[in-house]
Amino acid sequence: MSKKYSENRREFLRSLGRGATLGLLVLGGGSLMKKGDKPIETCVSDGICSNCSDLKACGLPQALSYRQSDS
Amino acid sequence: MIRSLIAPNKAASGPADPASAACNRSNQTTLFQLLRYPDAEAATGGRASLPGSLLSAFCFLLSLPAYAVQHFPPPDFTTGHKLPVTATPPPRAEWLAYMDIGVLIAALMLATYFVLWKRNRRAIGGLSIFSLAYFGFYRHGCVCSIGAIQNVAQSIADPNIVLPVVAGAFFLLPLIFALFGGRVFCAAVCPLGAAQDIVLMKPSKAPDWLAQCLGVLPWIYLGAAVMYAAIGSAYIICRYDPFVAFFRFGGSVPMLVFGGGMLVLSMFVGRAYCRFLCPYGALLRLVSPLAKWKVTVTPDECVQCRLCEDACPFGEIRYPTPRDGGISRTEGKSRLAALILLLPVFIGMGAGLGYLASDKLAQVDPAVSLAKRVWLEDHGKVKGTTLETDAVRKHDTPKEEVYLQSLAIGKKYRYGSLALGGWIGLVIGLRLIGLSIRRRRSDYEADSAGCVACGRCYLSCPVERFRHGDAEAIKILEEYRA
Repeated sequence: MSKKYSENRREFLRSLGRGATLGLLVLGGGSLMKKGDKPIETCVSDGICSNCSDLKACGLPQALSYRQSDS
Repeated sequence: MIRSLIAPNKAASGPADPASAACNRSNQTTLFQLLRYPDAEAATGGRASLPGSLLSAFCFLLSLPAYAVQHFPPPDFTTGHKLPVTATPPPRAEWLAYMDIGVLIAALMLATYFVLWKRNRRAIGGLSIFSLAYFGFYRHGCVCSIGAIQNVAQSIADPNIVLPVVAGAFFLLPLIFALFGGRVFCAAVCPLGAAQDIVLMKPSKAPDWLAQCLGVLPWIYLGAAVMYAAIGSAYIICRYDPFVAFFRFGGSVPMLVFGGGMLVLSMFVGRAYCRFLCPYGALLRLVSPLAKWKVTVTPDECVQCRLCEDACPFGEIRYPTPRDGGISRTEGKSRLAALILLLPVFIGMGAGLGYLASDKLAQVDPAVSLAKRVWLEDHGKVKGTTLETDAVRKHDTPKEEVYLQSLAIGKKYRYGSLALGGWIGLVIGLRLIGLSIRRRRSDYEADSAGCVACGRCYLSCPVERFRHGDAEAIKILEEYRA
């Protein structure tokens, strides 16, 4: 009886740990990959917008005006 | 449609690769034959066309890099400068990167099925050969889950760096699968593990004390890799990957020697890199004890025949604990309490040593080593100049700026080395605590953290062999049950 109880307790703790780890991995990984959707705050292209691959997602004033003038 | 399969977008790939062209020719023939003789398969009983189809599929895979997209083509130099040959794989189209994720998921699912349900060593071996061919030789060892640790670390440390979806998937998926089925990634999906597994000939068991000491190395390597990636200096896991030079059919001489040495070592010490260096293995070691389904030596009740005792070449089968063996309970408790109390001391000592080593560790950063070289040259401590220091002198950037940049990076290293040293102290302390905890086992069990799920122990168990109808196993079982 006590062995069964301790096994149940161990299994419960293990599934708790599994759920917590899974949540952490999915949420953490997702937020790191989702970061790209946020407007970029630092220029990665030395202020030259014409060839910048991040231009679409960029929120810097220079990029905004470049996009405006381009359209 | 078929034409587009045979001749992919050549404009994107530049001049055609002769090997690829040859493959495309054979591909063309096979498809042509299939079109002209649609019932050829039936006529030959399916024998002749199967290798042809496999070859076609392989050639199709080889020709896929032609879809690669180069965002910024290299400039045409008028000075006659020749671009150096790149050591890293060429750029890859987005849909091909997603295909890699698909292949990874399929391989992980198959590995889980083979390890836990089918319990078939041969199938696991077959899948690992495929993984070696695809993730190793075809994908040139990049992207890989081990290296993806650095992408994740850098992305966490630097808010401006976004984790690429492929790197994120390669980092997360094997860990998620490990939460359900243990280290199935190591079993048959990791190309580095497969390369070592294939050459394993005569495994010898490392002494327990040595295996325990060396078992700390992956954690230290993990800490160092995270620190260097987080600061943004280097991806040391990729730089010192022992097998990537083989996967790319080229590399520096020291790395080829290191890789060759590792392969020779793996002939006699099972999966030496996986057990004593792999930082991703350290993460999987952490996660796999939580697995819902685990590798078990026996599919049913253990008959204590002891036939599996030496079946694991990696020493990951744990024996039943003796009822009255080892040290007394009181002595064990006091040892455990002492080690727990000493843990902060280990961490503090490690942090202090790390802080003292920060200048040396910072030398890996190119900006720091350049600033040091410039200073040494200016003060006449070394003779001659390098290409980099010449560039600094010819460039408009003042030397002070180079020094200031180096100082800023050096400051980051002081914090990083402090944390790394503390981490090493923590790892050593926890390892000692782990060794002093007694665990009770009544059966022979595969270690839930260290087992790489290779399936070698399955057929050593007579209960498993009985399942496969082995007559000899029935005799052994009757003997032990009597």
